[in-house]
Amino acid sequence: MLRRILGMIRKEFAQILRDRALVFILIWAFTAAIYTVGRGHAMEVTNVPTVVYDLSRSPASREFLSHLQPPYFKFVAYLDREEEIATYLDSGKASIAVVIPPDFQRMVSGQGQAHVQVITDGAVAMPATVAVAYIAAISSRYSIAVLEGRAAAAGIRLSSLPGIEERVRVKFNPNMLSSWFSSLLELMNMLTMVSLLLTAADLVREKEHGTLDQLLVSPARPFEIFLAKIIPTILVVLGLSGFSFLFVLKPVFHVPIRGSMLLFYSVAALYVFAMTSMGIAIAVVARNLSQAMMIMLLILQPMIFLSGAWNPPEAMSPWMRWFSLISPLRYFIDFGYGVILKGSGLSTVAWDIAGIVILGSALFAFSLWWFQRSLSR
Amino acid sequence: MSATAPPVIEVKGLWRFYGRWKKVEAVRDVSFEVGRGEIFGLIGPDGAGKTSIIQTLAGVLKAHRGCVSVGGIDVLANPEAVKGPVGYMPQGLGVNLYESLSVQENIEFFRDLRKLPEKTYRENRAHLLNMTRLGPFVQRRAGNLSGGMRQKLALICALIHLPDVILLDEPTTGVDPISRQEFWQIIRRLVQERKVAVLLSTSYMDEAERCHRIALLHSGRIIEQGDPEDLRAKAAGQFAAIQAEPQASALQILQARDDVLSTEAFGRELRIRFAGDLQTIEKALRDRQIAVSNVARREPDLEDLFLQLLSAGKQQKPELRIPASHVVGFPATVKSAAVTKRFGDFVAVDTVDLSVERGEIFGLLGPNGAGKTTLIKMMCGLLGPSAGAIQVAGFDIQSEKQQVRDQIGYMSQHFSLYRDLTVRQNLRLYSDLYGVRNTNFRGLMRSLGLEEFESRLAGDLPTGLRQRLSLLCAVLHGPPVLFLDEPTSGVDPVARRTFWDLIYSLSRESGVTVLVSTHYMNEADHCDRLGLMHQGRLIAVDTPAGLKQTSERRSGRLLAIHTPGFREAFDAIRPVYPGAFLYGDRIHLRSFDARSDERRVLSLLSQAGITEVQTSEPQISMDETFIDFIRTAEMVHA
Repeated sequence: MLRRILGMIRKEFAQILRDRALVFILIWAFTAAIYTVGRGHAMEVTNVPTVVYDLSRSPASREFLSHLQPPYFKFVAYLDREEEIATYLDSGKASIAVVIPPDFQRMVSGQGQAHVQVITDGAVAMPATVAVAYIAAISSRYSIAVLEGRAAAAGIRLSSLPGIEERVRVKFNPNMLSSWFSSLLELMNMLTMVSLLLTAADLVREKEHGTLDQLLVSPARPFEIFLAKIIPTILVVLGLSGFSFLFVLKPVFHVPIRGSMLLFYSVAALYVFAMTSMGIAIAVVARNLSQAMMIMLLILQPMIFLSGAWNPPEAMSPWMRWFSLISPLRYFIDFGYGVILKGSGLSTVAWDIAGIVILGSALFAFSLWWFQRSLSR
Repeated sequence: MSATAPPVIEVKGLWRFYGRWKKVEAVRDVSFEVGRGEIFGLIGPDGAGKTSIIQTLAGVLKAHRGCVSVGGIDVLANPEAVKGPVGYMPQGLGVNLYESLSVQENIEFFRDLRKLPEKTYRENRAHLLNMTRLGPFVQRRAGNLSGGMRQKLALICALIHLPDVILLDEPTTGVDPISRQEFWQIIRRLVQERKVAVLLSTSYMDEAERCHRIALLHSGRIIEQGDPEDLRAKAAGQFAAIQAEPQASALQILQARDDVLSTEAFGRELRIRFAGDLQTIEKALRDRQIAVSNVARREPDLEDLFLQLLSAGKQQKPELRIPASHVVGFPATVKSAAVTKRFGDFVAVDTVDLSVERGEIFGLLGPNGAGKTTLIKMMCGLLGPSAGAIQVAGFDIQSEKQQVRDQIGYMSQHFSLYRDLTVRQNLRLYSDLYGVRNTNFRGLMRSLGLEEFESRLAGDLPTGLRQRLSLLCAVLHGPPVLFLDEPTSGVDPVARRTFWDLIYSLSRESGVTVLVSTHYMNEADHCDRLGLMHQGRLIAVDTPAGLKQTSERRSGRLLAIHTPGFREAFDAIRPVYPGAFLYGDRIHLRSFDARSDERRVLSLLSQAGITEVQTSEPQISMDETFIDFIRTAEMVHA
């Protein structure tokens, strides 16, 4: 039995290594893809293309505009006509237009409320929202500065008035580097996706080529074939994630590894084991590779959505929050952040591990049962 | 017939390349012509270039060099222009059809594609439906038609504009013999009535005889073309069939002789090509204590010619010997009792009783969808039967699955080894799977001619070698019972013969029981016994000769009529002999009394003013035998 399983595992490795394109994609997924996400998927918004229609053309308007600075804003043009605003926004050459009215200087110097109009391109919702928030902050700071100037002229020190000032200290990620989160999250997503994909694609291909039948008429039992299918994937995926830690997460993003790698890897192995089992179940249902891909998309999307990767479970609607309990990725992400970024020990992440173990064994039992059943029609 | 009128299809020096840097030459310097009212056949195995040629003519594929003209249109310069006047049916069972549409809707779709005027459409549709007898089924969904009916619908769709040039790519592969016969009759009628030019391809050698002229293709090149009869006459040497016991030693003696040019074991027959005297050869056998029971000269067929053209002289034949120790001690038989397999409402295998003896080569013959694969899969334990029981090597396939698996070798349909592993890695995997120890891989590979390909990927091997590798992997553990599911599909004739030689030696020398399925009718003769499968049922089991004799007893012997004016002759005979049919440029009919029928035919023909007539009594083909049994079975069933 051992010889048969080892023989099949050796065969799997030979097949994976022979497929140059696959090897390239795998390495890409665990290095370049994670790098791009860590770099590109930052929450800070920079270089927002901005146009200005300054009707005031006064020292006050110039001073206000000087606060809209790179790297956050990039001035594309100063406009002379109002119609041009629409042209720039429509063509996408600008996402933000700032309009300063003719009476800006007069208002600021004491006649009343000064208005600034900000027009944004809602189609690029995320950067637009953030940019608007920046502008709001800038204008309130500017107002305070104006106020301070007036108060000083009237002989009042503004800071002597009552008020609240927040003092924030960020734990675990003092510089609030989003690349730590996003690169780690992407690694865990890749772990999920590749485990599913590699196993499912491999088994479907054997089904399509008829090689599965050849294995089945041999003395190899379905259980042995099952193991021989998932063990290579587990080894490959774990190996690649180590590669990713060594060559991307640590040296490039300086993600701190605060907890025990042994703990992380033991649980990751369990998790990947569960995912590969699910990959087998997908391959049992799918008749060909494209079907397997469709099914995988159907499973993967809600799983990632429910995992809290994009929005924390706490922000979900109550029934969705209950639903998120069946996404194994939820526990894994929680666990991964805990061990890697916070240095949590076994006792802190015990519930996450329990979740992975329970869901994992259910998946494994179901897939194995289903696989065996499909073979004895 | 094409001598006077200008040809409709003219191909000159056609080349087509494939792959990176045009490395693969799919079509090499091919030239031929097809005239009005002519059926031209491209005959060759998979990968010979048949499809590439037809697709080029249909304007679907670009050629790289040469001249192609169809109905006066320069196809290479103007590929779109040819798509109007030509009717083209691509390869595969009704691949141009939409499964979820009805017969009527499919036909209408093609009408719209062709923008046919309503009047022409109505006439053509009525004509074609009448010819194919699909009229009663116009409301049925294409997906629910049988294989033969689908193929006929595909034909209607391709020909709805009644073109003068018809291109058919393997129209009959895997189709049941009755549908095949009908298909040929439809083509015949079109040619007879409308003088269309037909170019078709096939991998069945026996279909060549139904064409007016043929081209034998191999590796993209035409190796010979002309009238089938003239081509057969080109086969050099003399041909004979010998029945002798013990067969294996007789074969050895024959192989050693210089006047025997080639030898082949065909079931219980030995077929030889020889130069010199047949009696001397027979005497040589008797001198060595071989019991010779029958020696008969035989007419060479096209496959003989093909083999001769491709294989230069006597070659070292590959060998495959497995340790006999594995085989002895088990009742290496296969028995099935009332085995049935249903998939929903569909009965794939219907109460099949079968018993295969030890060391026997048993053939399951039948078209695609007859249930051969399902039956074999049940015997290997890959599918559970819905009813009935199967015993393999004395073990019950249901309750003793694991024991059975040690006793069987299985080679599934198509090539099912790991294409992305090398020859050696494949062998290694199989020896691990079966726990084979101390295997002399090198020796085995050498004896099969695989040694130099050891580190080549299995997917890159030529089809013939792939087949051998599959077989080797299937018998590596020395199984007493071997299941082969359509092992020779699409393999060229030379490789096919070699493959059968290997099967033969496994059966005769190692005592392996072999159960093999095929849809090639002319492969049937390789088997000791045959089971004919039709629509899930096993309709007859006997030796090939026995089946033919039964068919002759039932429906009469075959009478062939040769005459230059065969079209007129056919019209004259048909009213009296409704069962007569055209076979190439001969007329075939079945007769219980050849003498009197011959007289009657001759008088009918002389009344019609046809005097240049010859008759002969060829042996009935396996195709016709099969059709005979299907008809009888359907009568009994009804």
